[in-house]
Amino acid sequence: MAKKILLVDDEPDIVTTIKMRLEATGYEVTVATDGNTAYNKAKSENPDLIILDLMLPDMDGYQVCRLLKFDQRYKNIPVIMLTAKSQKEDKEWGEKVGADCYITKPFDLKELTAKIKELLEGKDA
Amino acid sequence: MTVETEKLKEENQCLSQELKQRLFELSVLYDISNSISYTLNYDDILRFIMDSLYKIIDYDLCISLIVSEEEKKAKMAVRIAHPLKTEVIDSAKRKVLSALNNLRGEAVAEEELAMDFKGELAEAGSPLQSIISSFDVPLFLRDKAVGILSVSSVKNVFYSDDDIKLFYTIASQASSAIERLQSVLAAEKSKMKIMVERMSEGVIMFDEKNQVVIFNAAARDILGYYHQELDAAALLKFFHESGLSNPPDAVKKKVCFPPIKEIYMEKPSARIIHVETNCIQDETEKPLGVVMVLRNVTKEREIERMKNDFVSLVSHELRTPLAAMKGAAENLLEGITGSLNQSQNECLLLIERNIDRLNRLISELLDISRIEAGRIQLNKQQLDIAALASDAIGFLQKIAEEKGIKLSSSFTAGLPRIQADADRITQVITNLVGNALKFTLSGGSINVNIFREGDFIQTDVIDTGSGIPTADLEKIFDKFYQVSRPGAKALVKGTGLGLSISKGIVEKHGGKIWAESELGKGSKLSFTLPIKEVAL
Repeated sequence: MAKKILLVDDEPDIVTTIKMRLEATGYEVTVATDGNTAYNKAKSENPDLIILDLMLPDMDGYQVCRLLKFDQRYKNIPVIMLTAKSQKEDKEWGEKVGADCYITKPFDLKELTAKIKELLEGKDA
Repeated sequence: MTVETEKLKEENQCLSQELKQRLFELSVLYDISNSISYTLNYDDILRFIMDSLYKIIDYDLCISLIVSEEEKKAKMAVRIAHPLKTEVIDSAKRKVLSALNNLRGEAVAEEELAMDFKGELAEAGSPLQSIISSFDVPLFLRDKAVGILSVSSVKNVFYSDDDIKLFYTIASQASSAIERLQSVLAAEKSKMKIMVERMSEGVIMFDEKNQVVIFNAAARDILGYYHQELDAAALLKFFHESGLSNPPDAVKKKVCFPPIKEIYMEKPSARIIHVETNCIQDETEKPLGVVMVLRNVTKEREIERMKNDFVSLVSHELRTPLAAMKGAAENLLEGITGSLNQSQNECLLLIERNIDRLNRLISELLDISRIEAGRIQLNKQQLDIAALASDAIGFLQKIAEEKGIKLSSSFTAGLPRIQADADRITQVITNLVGNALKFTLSGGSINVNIFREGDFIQTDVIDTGSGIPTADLEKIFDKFYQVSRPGAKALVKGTGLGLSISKGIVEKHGGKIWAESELGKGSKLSFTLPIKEVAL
């Protein structure tokens, strides 16, 4: 069965390009465009991995990540933080709230898919 | 008849002699009054009068004594025309002093006198001398005696009525000159005072005893002294706690550190004050105190912050659409949407390349705005700069090979590790080598040398490129500056920010960056990093 990825970004064009690539690579993709939906879908759809944008309506990526990582039921879902913020302290924040990986925009889709593969395989092992 | 003629002739001669003498006296007088009109200094006036007097009055000793009401000082000047014995001079000095004290009705002690002495003392064992002829004239200022001018001789000289008359004229000239001088000084002083008081910059002056000498309206306004009394001690404490040097210390060391500082004040309202501190001295290098020039820069800093926030926001907003474009181009290039023919592939590569270029530009704009705002953060760690440089150079080796340029490096073995931000230093080395690659033609070479230079580690990037005109050497580190170099192709187009960013990074580390070049032969760009961490 194909691995399911929850893709969270409020930019439809970013969602389109990433979704296209992930589906072509063979993943199942479910999308959320705001913080609340992302949190609910993470709980209800049981994804294998989450790609999370930082700047989101309702609840930002940090909060979503923290809520999930502090919950025993969801803390093992790998989270890739994706953001246009590149300041050092932003990165540190991402690590504090438990993100597994932090990728800054502009990113390489190749780099992203490689990271996904690595995290999913690591989880299985 | 002959006798008559002879007598007339004699008289004529006498008259012409006298006329000559008068003319000479007049010319000296003219000289004196002229020069005292142009001088603004008591010492100069007296010195000039005494020196001129010698031309018309035969004296051995001339003494002037003058009391300055304002400065509460008395000054005595002594001129000796022929060598005199000390005892003779001393007694003459005492006589002049007591004469002035009698005239003024208040005493000036001998010890309080400032002395100006010019002349020769007689050798020991020379024959006894004593003053035989002398006369004094008082100097009056608005009907108050302020000084005495005295001439004396150890010879038996006859001072004629004319001599004395001339002497009085000179003395009155001197008096009026001094009077004029005082009123000019007073007017000048009040003019300066009004000027300082009305300056838009705050001005505070402390003397070497921590007393406040100047505290103008703008300074009161900037520091929020609206109604309360000036409290010099509290003010000094505030400046000291803000990290400014203490006036007595600064006066002692003759230097204020830091000369420029921005201090933050919470009361009466939050404000940032730019303070420039300077030690001031008179023309004889005697310290007078410390002057602080204050400027309220709260608004300027606020605008700068807004500008930087704006740049960050815009950069963020630009990056998002670029990320989408890049993703889409990549998907196409990967063949996810179907296979591409060669020209489609080329077009997409072109799009991708330009997206990357825009992204780099945005990153550099962000960097420069952070550097300018002083918000660049260094993630310092112990690092081996040679290893770091090797990696950076290895990364650029491919571009060098493509361009037919020999890129090599040589590092001194066993360089100490330094505290620095690895990413940022890599950025500097990449910028410098990348820059050299741009301006070096095929067949040329680039050499990176790293060595120890005192307390610093120095990195030189030497190329055999077109070189930089001397006039541009300083400018190449300016923002957006692009040197138009002969031989550089139009293709060579960066953002003009790379070197400016490098400078910001190096300086933030406490190092220096500079360029040397010979046109047509190549350039050397160097930077240093301190081995021991410096507090900035």
